[in-house]
Amino acid sequence: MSEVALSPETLLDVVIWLGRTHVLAQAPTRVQVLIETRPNTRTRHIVAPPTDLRLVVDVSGSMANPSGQDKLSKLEVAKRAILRLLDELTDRDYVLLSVFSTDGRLVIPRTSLHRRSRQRIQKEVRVLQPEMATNISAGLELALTPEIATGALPRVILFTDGQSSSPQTDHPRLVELADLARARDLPLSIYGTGSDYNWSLLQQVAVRAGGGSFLKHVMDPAILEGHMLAELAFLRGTAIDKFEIEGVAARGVTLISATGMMPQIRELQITGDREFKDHTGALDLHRGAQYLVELEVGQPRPGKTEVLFLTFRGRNRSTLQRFEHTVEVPITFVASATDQSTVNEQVRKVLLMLAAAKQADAGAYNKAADLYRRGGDATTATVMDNLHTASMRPDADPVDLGREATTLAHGSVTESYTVDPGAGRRKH
Amino acid sequence: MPTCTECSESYVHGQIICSSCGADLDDPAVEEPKAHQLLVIGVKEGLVHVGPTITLHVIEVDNMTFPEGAYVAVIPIAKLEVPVRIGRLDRNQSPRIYPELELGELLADLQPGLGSVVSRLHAALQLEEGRPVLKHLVDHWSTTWVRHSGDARIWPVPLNTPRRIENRDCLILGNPRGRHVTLRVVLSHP
Repeated sequence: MSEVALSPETLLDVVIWLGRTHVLAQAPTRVQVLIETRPNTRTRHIVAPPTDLRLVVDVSGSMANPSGQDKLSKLEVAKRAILRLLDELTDRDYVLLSVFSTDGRLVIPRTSLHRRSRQRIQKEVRVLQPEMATNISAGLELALTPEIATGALPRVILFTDGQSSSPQTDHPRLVELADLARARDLPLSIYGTGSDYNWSLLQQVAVRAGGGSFLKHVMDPAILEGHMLAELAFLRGTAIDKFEIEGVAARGVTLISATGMMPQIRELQITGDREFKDHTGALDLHRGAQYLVELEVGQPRPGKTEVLFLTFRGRNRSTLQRFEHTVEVPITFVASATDQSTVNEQVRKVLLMLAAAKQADAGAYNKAADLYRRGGDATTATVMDNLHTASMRPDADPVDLGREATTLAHGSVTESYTVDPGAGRRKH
Repeated sequence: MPTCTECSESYVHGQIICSSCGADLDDPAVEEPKAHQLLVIGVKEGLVHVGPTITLHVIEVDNMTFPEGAYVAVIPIAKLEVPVRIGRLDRNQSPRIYPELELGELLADLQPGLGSVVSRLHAALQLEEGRPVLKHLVDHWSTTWVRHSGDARIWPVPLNTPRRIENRDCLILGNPRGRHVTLRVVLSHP
């Protein structure tokens, strides 16, 4: 492990792990670099800034269908989650609520949550009713348009269960809106339920929006409430925003892959075989952000050599000071196999979890479970076992199960890094 | 290119986990190389020694390095009751002198055309008070050094003066900064 010393005012801890610190020089050789970043513990003393939450809710006809185990409709469950979220927000926070059916409707414009407005918002939420068709972009556009409240941490939370009724116009507009969200630093948390919504389109929207945007499948809408409260906790834990990581491989070194793992596993785009960049967005002290980079050294020679140059950029939320730091990642190549170091267990664990996610994506839940077990993540392994059992039932919905598995698998690495704010340590 | 034993996917040296199936990959580069046993006079070839042994691994010859296990001489500790001399056989000499551990053939194979860095009778291993020691034996220009395990320094071994050796020490025959052979000592019962 090598801890990278950055200037104190950065409030960023960076730890770099190598798959092996000493690798036998053989042409070619693969090396792995695991980068863990997290706001410094001193940021715990910083007062949480206000949040600017924009809720976008599907009120199409299908939202009247039962949500699952309890008899409540999906819309009723979503309303209950929103009301619970409102209870957690303070007078300093802001809320916007837009709904979409055939058209978009701004139910509550961006509003500060003082006592009277809170009551009005609660009333508006309670009277929401299912309507007609599904026009996601109309609802999202209304949420993206208003300016972000000064000094507030923004996030859009979108909940849907259905396909667009007019995909010819809705889909291209959604892609445009993803770009708008990226440009405005307004990350999207998209929650889908059931097997009718357009998974790949919404995934594309989340990827384009960047800045920590994601799509999660919720098999049982009842857990939406928990997701929303976790979102709020993460948002309030933001200590660094506008965070970016950039990597450039040294001369003679090829970038094989770069994977971002917060909030979900995602392949980062590589340009020219040697560079990657990720606009990670907000960095909260509960999760931090992790990246795994694999490089190939064409002609390694014994001795210590730099293989990767990393640049971290961001802004300290409390001082609003921007920072930029570049660090070099060296590795030692050795001439003798006996001098090669053993595999770093943290890197191995992350590699196993990435391999498990691949198996989960492919529907091989039992194989994924084995890999999670080998990686030390018994919780995810057990859920994968359950998904495997569920997939064997004659009435199994493979689409629903597949999306649940992917959501779980792609969030598992971040989950393993998440520090329980109460306990002050990792969950696993 | 090596392939994963689980799924037959090919991989590159340095990969840790199979990118296809997630199996742990055996790095072929660190597989145990096939051992080349060096003959020691008085030690029967191919025997499994059940008592304490001292194993000498050739790990360096000039600027070449070798993993432990590539070239080894296994000597029962009991054989050091009489000196086990390390050197090279000179076939042009008459009468010939046979060192117990002959390195000349190995060095000729590894460095064809170069003169040997090891003298005919360069050094000897033997027991003193039940512990192995090293003695430098011969002529005015060849030298013998010891680098003790965990110590970066090297210590010359004066002529005919025993120097205690411990597990994982390195014995350097020749010039440590020039032409030399390094042997690592591994004791089975340190």
